[in-house]
Amino acid sequence: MRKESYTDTIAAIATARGPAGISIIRISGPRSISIADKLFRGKIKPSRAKSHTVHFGEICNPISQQVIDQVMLSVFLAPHTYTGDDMAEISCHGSDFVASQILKVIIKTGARLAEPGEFTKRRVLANKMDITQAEAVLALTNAKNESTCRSALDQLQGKLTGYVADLGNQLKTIIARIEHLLEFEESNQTTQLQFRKIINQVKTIRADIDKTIKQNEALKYLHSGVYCVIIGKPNVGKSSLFNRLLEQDRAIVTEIPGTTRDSLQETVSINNLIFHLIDTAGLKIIKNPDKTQKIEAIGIEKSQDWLKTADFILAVFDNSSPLTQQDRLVYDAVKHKPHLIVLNKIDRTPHFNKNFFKSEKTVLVSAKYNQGVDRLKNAMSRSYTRKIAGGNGYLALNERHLDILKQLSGLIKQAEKENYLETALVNLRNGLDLLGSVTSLVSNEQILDTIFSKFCIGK
Amino acid sequence: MIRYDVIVIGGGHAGIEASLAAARMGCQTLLLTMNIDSIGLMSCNPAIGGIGKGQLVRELDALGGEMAKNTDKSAVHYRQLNTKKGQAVHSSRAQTDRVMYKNTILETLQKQENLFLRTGTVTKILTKGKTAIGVETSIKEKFSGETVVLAPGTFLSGLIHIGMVNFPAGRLGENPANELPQNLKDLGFRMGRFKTGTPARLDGRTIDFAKLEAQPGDEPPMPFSFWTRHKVKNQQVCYITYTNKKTHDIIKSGLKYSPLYAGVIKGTGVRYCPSIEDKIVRFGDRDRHQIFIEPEGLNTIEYYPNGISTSLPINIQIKMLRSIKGLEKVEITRPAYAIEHDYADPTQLKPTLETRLYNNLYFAGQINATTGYEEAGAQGLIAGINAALRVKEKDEFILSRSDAYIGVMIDDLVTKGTNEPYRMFTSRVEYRLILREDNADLRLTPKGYALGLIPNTHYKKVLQKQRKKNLILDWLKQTRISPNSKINNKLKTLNTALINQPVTLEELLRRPQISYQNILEITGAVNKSLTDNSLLWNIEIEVKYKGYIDRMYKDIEKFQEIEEIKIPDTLDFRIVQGLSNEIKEKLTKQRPLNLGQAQRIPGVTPAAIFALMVFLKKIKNKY
Repeated sequence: MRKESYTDTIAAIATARGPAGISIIRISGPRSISIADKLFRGKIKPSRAKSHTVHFGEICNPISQQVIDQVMLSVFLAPHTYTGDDMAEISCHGSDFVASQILKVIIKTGARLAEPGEFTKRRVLANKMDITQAEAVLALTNAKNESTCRSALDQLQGKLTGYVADLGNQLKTIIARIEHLLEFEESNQTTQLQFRKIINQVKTIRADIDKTIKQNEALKYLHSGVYCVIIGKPNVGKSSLFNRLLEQDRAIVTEIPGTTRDSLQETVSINNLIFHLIDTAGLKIIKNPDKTQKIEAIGIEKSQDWLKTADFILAVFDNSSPLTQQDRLVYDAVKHKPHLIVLNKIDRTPHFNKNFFKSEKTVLVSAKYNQGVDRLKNAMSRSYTRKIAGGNGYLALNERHLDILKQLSGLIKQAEKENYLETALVNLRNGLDLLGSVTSLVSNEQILDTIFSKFCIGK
Repeated sequence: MIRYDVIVIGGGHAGIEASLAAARMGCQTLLLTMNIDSIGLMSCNPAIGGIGKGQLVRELDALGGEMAKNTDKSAVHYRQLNTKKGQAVHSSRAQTDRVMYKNTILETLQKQENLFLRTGTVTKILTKGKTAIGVETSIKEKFSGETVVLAPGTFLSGLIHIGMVNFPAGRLGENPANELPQNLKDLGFRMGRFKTGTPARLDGRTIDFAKLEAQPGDEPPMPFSFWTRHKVKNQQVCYITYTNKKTHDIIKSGLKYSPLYAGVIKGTGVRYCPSIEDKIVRFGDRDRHQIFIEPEGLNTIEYYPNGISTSLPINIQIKMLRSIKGLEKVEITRPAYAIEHDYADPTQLKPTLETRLYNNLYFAGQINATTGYEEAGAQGLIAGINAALRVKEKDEFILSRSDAYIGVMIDDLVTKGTNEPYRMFTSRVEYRLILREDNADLRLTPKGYALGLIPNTHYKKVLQKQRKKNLILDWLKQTRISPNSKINNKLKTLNTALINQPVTLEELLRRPQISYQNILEITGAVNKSLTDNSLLWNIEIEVKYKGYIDRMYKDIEKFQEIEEIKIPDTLDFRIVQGLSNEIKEKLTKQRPLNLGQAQRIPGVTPAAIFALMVFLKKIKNKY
């Protein structure tokens, strides 16, 4: 059961905890100004102040008449406020104690503590923003770097709403065309022919949705970085390359094959993209390992694990020696995954058969002499920026949106399989309804609460 | 002066159902019409049903209406539509003999107990305060009635257009009702203007049928009504022909003489049943349009060319028709025409079809911005039932969107209104896989019985059908058959996968290639054969579409949840916080009965619904 109603006045500390220059306490609701009247002492009574004005004064405890702090009071009158209701904002000195004292007296004077995200929720309910924009506010307040910030801003400006509307219109057109077939008499043959034609168009829509999903899955690399494992047979120079990419001597490098036993992991920013580089023991088949080889064998096992979980693989080969069975093993392990072929040791006489990779692109480097490393870096970051950028630019979706799109894609796929027009339509119509829930409230309290509970109080 | 319980104005398809329902529910009912000889006239095509419309008629029939029964008395050609492309949304349609249809329905009305027919042109609705109390006619005769059902069709300020010529008429050759619309405006109703049309009628002796594609009826034909006992027959054949480039050129060259395109017609036309000039202009990429040549009846030479209604001048009409294959030498018997008429904005009605402005006054049919006999008939029934219930001081009768096509139509009209003539479509129906023709009786006959519109024998028949259905569904679910060469040979001939382990009959029937008849052949269970086609379809559909049907029942539950949040009729929307003034005004004007209906009012935002829900919960907790 919901506690609040719109007759309530809510209050909360809007700034982060901890020592700071100032703290801001926000009040919203019909009693905001009368509460300020009771607490604020300054040149002007808040209820006499014009909207959108700032006033210097003191906040006093209305019972003890004790001054709590000197503050700046901002008065915002409905309807042109964040929530659409009357609002007051008190900027006090940046101490948790002072701010919470002020909040306490506000609540004693007739407000109640706001729930997380309640200010923004009221804004949505006042029809001042749609739900995707509200989610963008959340993302914006949590944004960690420039690109996540930019995508949140895009969303706030309605880019996602536009995308959803566009998708919705495409679906509506398709649905209307199938409905038309169902509602008007034509020969059975014509109907089936037309139906198949339309279903083919649905497939293109689904392809577009799937692309957006993929892009967004790629976006996670922007937030949490790319896990990139360096793999190759022993002694191809994986650790040298690792050090070069890190621009520091992190891994021990020797001429002895199998020097690297355990995997090393370091994080580095390459062209503004975060890579978690993992140096491994490499891949090789050890039959009946002896005592010394046992450690190496464990390392190799670990390399196998990394191969499974990594986002990206640098497959390193020795350009100065002929292709071996072990190289083939390495290539077989990576060829179906996102990877780059790196031919190391280009400072020596080439003996490697490059034709083995056929048309696949290779990057030539000499880790030892730091040749071609920048080229490698560019190739690494490019394969991600391309994925992330794609057709819709930075259309960043949160988990809820992504989940809806995935379900929608599934429903469309089901529609494609249907023999009957009306069952295909059930799927497409469900999809359309689902899509509607991205931007509208759908009168579903649960969706609402899920979204707003992620907000910090005071937003 | 006699005081009637229910006065019905208009003897069209809405007025007929309204007056029969009221009389059958025991009310002293008066049917006032401008011309008793025109009662039940089919102003447009001589056919009942069609996609979406067939469902309305079957529902009407299941509730105790007359349209389907009367169709069976006068039908000459039966066809099921959509059986191939969408078994769950197949619709019935029947061609009738126009004269016979009219005569048989008049006979039914004249034999109906409690029902009185009277000629009279109503000019005024008599009111006392905010309540209707009777009517007055053009000869200053007054009739007193506890309730009044108004069903005037296209007659309100009717204006016929043929080319640039136009003249007042309610239908070709009949006078319009010109005083009543003014009276309605004076009473405070918001009125609008719509346009509809009808094609020319053709002299069958001048049609070259050899050149046309014949379209025989279904064999065996299935009666329209659940209650028809006699064997129905296909007695006539329909034909198909097409327009061509020459036809389209003639129409294009004539557009400047079309009142529709010259701006003479102000009313909005039916988008879904457009005139041929509309089709040519709007679907310019189509190189031909289908035309059905339908017989007008058994004892007439006239034919009805379905799909070519127009308001073009008469000379262009003839030229255009003669450009069509098979019609090269055609003579017309009656010209095509467009007709403009007044309607009242249906959002001024409650879901009972009672007006919000005046108690005991009900509107039904084309006056509510609809088009079609079936739409009119269904509204007539609901208005008649509710007028009778008012007289008897009983609770109102409302069908919801999850009950019936009728419920969808009326909810659309009174909640959303319409900016073009409203026609029933299956796509308007959210739960159409459940609201089907084959189960209309199972869904609605118990309701009709409770109202007193269904005789005991019919009700018993439905109960029996339900029992048989359960029995057969159980049998299909519980009977397992093991693979053997006989069964697999049969499956092979049906082009479906062979079985290698025991399966239930239900699992077999779920396959698209297998019919219930095939199941009987495989099992040899003669005692499970079905003579009732609607039950046969019912079982096939419910097995084959089970997954989707179950999903829809879940959707209905969700739908009903919000539908059940009632809005008290005393609620002052102005005190609900979080609603914009515009939305407050909308809600105050339309007074939705529940949150679901409020949600469907155009312009009412989800945020507003949420605010309203919070408010309703709060006041519910308080009291």
